[in-house]
Amino acid sequence: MLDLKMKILVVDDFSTMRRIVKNILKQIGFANIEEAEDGNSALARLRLGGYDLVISDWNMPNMSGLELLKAIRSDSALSSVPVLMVTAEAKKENVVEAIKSGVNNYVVKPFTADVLKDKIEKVFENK
Amino acid sequence: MQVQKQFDNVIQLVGFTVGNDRFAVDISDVHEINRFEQINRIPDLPEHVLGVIDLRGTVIPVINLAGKLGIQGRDVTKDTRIIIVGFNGEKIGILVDAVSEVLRISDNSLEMPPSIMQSFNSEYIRGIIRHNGQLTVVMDLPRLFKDYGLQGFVPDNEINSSAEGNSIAAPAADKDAVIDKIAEVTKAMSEGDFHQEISGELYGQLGEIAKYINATIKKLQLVEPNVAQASERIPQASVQLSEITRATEEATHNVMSQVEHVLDNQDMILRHIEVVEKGNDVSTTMGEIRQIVSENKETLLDIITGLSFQDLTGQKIKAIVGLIEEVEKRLLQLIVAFGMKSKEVGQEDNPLKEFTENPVLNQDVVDSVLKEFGFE
Repeated sequence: MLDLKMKILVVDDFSTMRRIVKNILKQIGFANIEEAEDGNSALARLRLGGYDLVISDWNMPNMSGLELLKAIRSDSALSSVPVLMVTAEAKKENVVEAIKSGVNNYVVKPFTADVLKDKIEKVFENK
Repeated sequence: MQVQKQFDNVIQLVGFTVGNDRFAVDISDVHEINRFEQINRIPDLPEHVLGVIDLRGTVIPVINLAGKLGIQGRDVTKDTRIIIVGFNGEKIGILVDAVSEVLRISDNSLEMPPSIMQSFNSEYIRGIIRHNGQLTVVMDLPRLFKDYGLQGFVPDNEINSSAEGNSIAAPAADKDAVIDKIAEVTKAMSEGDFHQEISGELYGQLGEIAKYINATIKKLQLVEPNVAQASERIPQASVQLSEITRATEEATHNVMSQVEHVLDNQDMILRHIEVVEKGNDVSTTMGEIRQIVSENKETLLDIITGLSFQDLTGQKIKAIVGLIEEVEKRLLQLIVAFGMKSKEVGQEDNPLKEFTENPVLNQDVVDSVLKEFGFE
């Protein structure tokens, strides 16, 4: 059973996409959701602590989702925070690269609430 | 004359062109054919003598055949040649636009020039031949030599003995001035000023460089306004595109706000239904539900109206596509003007390839990759 009280950080450079993800998460039942517009600001927020899940886009200015993932995994305070990649990245190599860099799951845009919920459940089952 | 005849009545000719006309000289008179090189000008030259060249220590006058024949020659190109011909121990160079071929003709196919040929100085014409459907004028070299051979030029040894004098090489100061001018015009060109040209009579390598630069300038003058006009519109296009991004973002947020409002109302309806199911305040609660439903309907219609942003952005995008096509056209003109040989734009070079060609990886494919790596 998912802990609906968990604190989730949604990272995407498009405000509309952040809002869409946020709405889908709300629909699933999550209420504690925060946003960041790129890897840099996400990392700054994450370092304040208290986040249970990161849902990140891949293509972003300043710091990409992959760089953010690598930064999280190499930061001892954050390394255990699960990261779910939500992207339109179309290449298989990208998926493999994300997996090798320690992603917890990978959702392809556009996606439905069911898919996102399923993936979040899997992230926490496998933990 | 008799040396031009072969014993089997076949004569071999070296064909060349001056302007639009074809000429030939007997191959036995031709000593060598050289690429265009520096012609040194000396004072008081006879008419149509360009100057002299130094051929392995021998000074040879070069005749401007076009001028001599009274026809229009071409500018110096990579095909320009100096044919060195000799007669009675004298040598002269003939400046021609191109050497075309060696012709083998029968002696008796040489005809007298028709009257149409009188357009240029026919006294140097030995005859004409028809070859591949075209007329070729066979030059009378002895006649040409008579004009220059023993008059107007000092013998070789005298020129050689006066070589330290002022005559042979172009004055150094002149050359420096030319180089300065070329540098000036080239610099202006690199700074976007295509309105200067290198002028003056130039020969040799410098002359060729100057001609290439002038030709480039002419092409640039031709395409410059087009390209300038086109590039002025590029910022216009990017401003429009940014505006579209902003407008779609705003519209999407508007739609989403309204959807969120409807979703909230849905939850409220559910709570009201629970109240009704418990049998409390049935009529007032039902009235509230009715009101929420009609409010939702209004909001949903607002969403539809709000989606009309697509029409506005669509029109803007269409205008931008027009601008891009125009820029493309102008750039194409630039490419054509310079005959640029660009490599074919390969798939690898197309930054939009991912968007246009690769089908977006779907979740199933991603899931199978994830499975390979042990994800459930």
